[in-house]
Amino acid sequence: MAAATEQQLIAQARQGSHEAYRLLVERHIREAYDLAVGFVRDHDDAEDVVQDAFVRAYNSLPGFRGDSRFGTWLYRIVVNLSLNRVKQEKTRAERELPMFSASALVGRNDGRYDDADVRGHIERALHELPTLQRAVVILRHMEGLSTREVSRILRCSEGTVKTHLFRGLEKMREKLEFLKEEGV
Amino acid sequence: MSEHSLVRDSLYEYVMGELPAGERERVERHIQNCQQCTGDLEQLRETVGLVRRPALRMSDTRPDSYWQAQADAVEGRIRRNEAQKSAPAVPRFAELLDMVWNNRKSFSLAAGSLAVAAVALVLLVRKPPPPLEQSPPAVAGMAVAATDTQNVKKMTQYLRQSKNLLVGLTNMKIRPESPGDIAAEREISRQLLQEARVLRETVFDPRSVELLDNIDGILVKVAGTDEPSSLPDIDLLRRGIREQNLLFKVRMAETALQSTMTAGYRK
Repeated sequence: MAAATEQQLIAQARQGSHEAYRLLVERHIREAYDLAVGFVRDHDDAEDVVQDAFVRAYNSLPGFRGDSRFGTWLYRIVVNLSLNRVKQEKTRAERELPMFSASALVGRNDGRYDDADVRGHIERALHELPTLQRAVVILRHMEGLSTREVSRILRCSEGTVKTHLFRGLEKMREKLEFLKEEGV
Repeated sequence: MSEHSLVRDSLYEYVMGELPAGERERVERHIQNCQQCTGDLEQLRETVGLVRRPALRMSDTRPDSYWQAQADAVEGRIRRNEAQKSAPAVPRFAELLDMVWNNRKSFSLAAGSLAVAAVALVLLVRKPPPPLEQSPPAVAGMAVAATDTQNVKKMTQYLRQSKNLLVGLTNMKIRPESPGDIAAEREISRQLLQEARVLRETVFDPRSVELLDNIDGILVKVAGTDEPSSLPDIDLLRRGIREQNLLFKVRMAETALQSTMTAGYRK
């Protein structure tokens, strides 16, 4: 079963094969987690979101038409659950930034920005964006998904993705302008 | 859409080097004559330079064992959901067991109800245990009954191993300055998670399922713990065990199962 294609695994999972679905989980769970943690900023929350997403995806498999990749379809569920979780969290007090999620936002190649404060500012700027812009920036820029994939996940046109990406990054630049002035 | 808008929307791909040659040249032609796009391009380069794609993905910070444990947890939830959907009506004896577990302060009541709980746990498996002397089974019905005895044994063994693991974690001595090695516990947790998946296909009593869930919660954490484990990691696990009163629940279930087995032998 290890060499089975994704389509074969989906077909078997639809027939009730737990083994086939487990292989799908193993193939996609890391990407799903990376995506969730980008939204919810907390390891435990991301873990819950990912588990819920896979369980929901399994229950919804009969309705999966297969006109997009399984990953794209799954990411849509992850994004929806993540946004719900973020909405719930919004009513609570601003939480401390988790020590590891900030590091995901800045490259570590040259170490120029390897400073927790700077990373915190960048993360805050990202999470202050309106929901759709934040989702586009995370999916397109952080996760590196194609414009087409992002448009499928968020159910909007490719033009909308490009516009929100441009505006989102523009707003982030404005919020982070002071870093430039401080020579970061 | 105007040429200006088209190019503006393509600036990100241009900066990231994702545009095919033809479109790249088109952007370059436009920005030579458009001051606004030239400014936007410069600002976009600055932003992308600062807010970079992660060099290290968050998932890379977790060991393979963590992802296996997560996959186990997902599979466990799916199997559990399916088992609950196809389960027969909930036995009312489960409520008695609830009472024992939820009224921990009145331990005497719990002890007094142990006999009742033992009866309730007879319902842990789909069929009542058969008299052992009827083995080997001669008819299909007896074969089913023999399987049920096996299930009780499996559950007993699972509870015993879980208890040993929980006791070990609770009593583990770790110095704050030196990380602890819980490689063996991780391996045992993975095995127990697998066993729990099999047990869920047999167990339908909601209280038993809840106990499996509670134990799973700790096992998943242990199986996914980074190596080496720090004191805060272990403390977190201990707190989980303590707050759920997990050892007490396991011991109660273990005792009740033993009574069930003894009753089966006497019969």
